Amino acid sequence: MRKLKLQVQISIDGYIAGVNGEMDWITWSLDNAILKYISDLNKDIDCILLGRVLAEGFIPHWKMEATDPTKKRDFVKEMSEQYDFAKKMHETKKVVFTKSLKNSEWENTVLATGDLATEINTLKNQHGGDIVAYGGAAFVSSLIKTGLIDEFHLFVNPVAIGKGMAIFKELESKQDFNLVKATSFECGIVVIHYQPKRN
Amino acid sequence: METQVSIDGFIAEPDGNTNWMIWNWGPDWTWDKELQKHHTDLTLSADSILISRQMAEEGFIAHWQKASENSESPQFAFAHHVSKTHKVVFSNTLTKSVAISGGWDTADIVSGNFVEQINQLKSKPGKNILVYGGATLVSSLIKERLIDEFHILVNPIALGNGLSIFRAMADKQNMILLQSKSFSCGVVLLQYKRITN
Repeated sequence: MRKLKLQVQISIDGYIAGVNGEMDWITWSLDNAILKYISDLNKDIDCILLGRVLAEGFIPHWKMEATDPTKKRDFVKEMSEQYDFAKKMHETKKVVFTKSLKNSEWENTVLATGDLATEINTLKNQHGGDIVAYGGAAFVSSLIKTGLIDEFHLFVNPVAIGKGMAIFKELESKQDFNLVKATSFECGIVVIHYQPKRN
Repeated sequence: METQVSIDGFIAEPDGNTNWMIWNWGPDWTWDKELQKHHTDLTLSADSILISRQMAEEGFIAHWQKASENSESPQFAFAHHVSKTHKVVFSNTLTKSVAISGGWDTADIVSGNFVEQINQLKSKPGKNILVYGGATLVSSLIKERLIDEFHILVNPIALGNGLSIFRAMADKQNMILLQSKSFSCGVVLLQYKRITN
């Protein structure tokens, strides 16, 4: 069965975005070691799950990054890696979960409009690589509630933001985890990798 | 500050319950030896412990006095140090004429302007000042940006809802990561230094 991974930026106090979706607290200057962690984490991914809200920014953003010819011509290695990443984000199959949209106007994207757990189980049972979710808050909260995420990769940023959007608040009871590993990076982020305990 | 939190950042469930912590401050010291060592070393680096009025009234002092009576106990080093270390209770209502269990021999009450008093305490010569809780005291210290170093012990559990210590902040607080460390019991230590703007 395909694995479903969650990769999110989170504050020390457990928020993945500010009250109005702010992301200005996130560490954007990433060191090489963390870029490698992200690249390894996404290596076997061939399907990206998105909530409708995040999809509206995510899909056009990576399309622009991936199809801008000036980026491809740049011979600086770092830029080329970023371009490769953008290309992967653009070309990987995306599934957008929505109750309001009827048709996908995006490339490489299909819509999922049915029951969340059923849709996810169908995807996990299909043949293929791993599946990843990056956000947003409402979608990830519902996803956590289904108990179908296999790996949590929480990118804990060195900042407390006080208030914001949480992702565990829809849990109906406490959820125990096994710690797989915690890795700290020079840029100040600690990535904590957990697996949920299933009874 | 040393405090235990859940993955989602809570120090207790909405009703104050903390029995999900790997070490819930009880007498059972069967938890991770390496984590015990970190915790005891941190405590030994301090010569003052800040406690809330509620903790004083609920018997924090007596609890650790009693725990330090048995030198064979695995928590002896910690309990003994806590017991003899100077405790500071911040309260504008409590006075030493009110008897508390454990007595006032190792504790003083500080009242008046909270920020001024804490800053005065910090400017005195001496070792570190530690605070473990409670929630209201720690929230006020965080809000007033009086904590210099954070030792956050993340338990491998998500609660969904609970008490937060960062919620009272007016603005975000950036930190410098000093270290992170994972323990075999599943707890992750996140150690930060506050950035002074």
